Amino acid sequence: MKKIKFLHLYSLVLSGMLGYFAYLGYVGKKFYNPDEITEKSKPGTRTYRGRTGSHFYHK
Amino acid sequence: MSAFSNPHTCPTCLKTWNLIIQAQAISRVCPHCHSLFILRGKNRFESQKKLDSSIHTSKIPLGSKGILRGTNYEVCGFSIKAERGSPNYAWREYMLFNPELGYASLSEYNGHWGLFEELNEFPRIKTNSTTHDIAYQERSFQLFSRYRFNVLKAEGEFPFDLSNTDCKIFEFISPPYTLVNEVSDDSNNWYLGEYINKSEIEKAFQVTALPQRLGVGAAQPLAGNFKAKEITTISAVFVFLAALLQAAFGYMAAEEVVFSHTYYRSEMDTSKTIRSGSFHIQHDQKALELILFSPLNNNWLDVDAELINEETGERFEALKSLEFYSGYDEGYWTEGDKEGSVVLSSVPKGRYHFNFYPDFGSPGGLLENDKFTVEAKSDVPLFSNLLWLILFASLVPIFAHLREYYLEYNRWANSDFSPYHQE
Repeated sequence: MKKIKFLHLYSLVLSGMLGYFAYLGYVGKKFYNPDEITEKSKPGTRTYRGRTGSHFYHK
Repeated sequence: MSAFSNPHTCPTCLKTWNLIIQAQAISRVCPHCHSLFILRGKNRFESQKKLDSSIHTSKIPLGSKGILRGTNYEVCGFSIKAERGSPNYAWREYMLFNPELGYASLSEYNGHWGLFEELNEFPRIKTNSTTHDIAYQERSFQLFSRYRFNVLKAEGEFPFDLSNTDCKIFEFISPPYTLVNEVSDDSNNWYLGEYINKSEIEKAFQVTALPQRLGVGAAQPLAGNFKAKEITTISAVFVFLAALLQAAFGYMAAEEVVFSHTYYRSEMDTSKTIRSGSFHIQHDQKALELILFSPLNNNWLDVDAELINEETGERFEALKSLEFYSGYDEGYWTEGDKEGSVVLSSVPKGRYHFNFYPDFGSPGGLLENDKFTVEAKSDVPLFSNLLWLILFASLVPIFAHLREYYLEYNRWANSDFSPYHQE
């Protein structure tokens, strides 16, 4: 019984992942897209634009 | 007095105790003085010796009744056995009796329990002389241990001669099952055992404080009762389905170049902005890939690109950094890339233009290098999503394999026939 439960649960999780994968592919969205600036990732102003100092060797 | 009168009076200590299997007993051990009696001839029990009474006592009292795996049992005997030559390697056995079905035994070592029954049929066994494996009932059993034993302590009744320990024991495992082969000069008996949790025993016989589990039992199944192979198979199926979907997305993707242009630093206006010409995107809610190229030479370029829908004012923004360095240090080396791309998600169809905010690395650099080329492709397939799915779908199988290896390694640490390299 436990075996059925765990494997079913795992299959369900993978089904969810597959569904989400299909959704992302359909709407043209990357799961992880650090280069894209969205409202969530935007720190509030445009002044951060360009190098922020994290690349110290350009300073 | 009859040898089978009940309650029975021990001839040695004259204390009484209740017989359970009565005439079926070959051995009797008084639970009070631990004197061993063996049936010799008809109805005549002969005193043999006194067994040790100083070591551990039974955790399930003689006469305890309970329903275990659907069968009514009564505990008629208890013994402690040890591997000959290794007295510290001792285990406990409880003889169980059912008037209709006969006998079974519960064996306990380090808090791990097994319920054993004698096989009525001689198993059809395929032997493999190189690995000592045997096959029984479509399962492959591996040789786990081979030993002789001594009886250290016993009490109650037994349907066999407890004093006769002149036999070899071979144990083969296929968790949660164990096959035991007891071989002597005049007998060859097989027993099939199944791992059983102590909670089942506590519930069946209404006992508490059974020994805690130590280490991994020889026939202990993996917790959760699933195998890494099954998890891996399921994951592989889903990854395959995802790959099929990805192939379909790739096949259907138009990958249309909607914009392409080369810009120079001199085109920046006073606000250091470059505005592109207008262009049209036909594919609704699709990914737009922006490919940047700059002929960098020990320099860098950051481009903040803003895609603006001229009809709705909706904005999409991305930041891409390019850097390329090279030199000689014990040979030619390079670092970074002159080209890179960034994806804007779910861009609706419509009329657009770009605003670029370039940040050129070295103001004093060569003028001909202060340029960059932009190409925008609409409706591109996103391969990275498949990689993420493969990564997530691999985590559980990897964990399951590591867990299985760890448990199997520890299980076989108690065996002389470990397939693992163990010290």
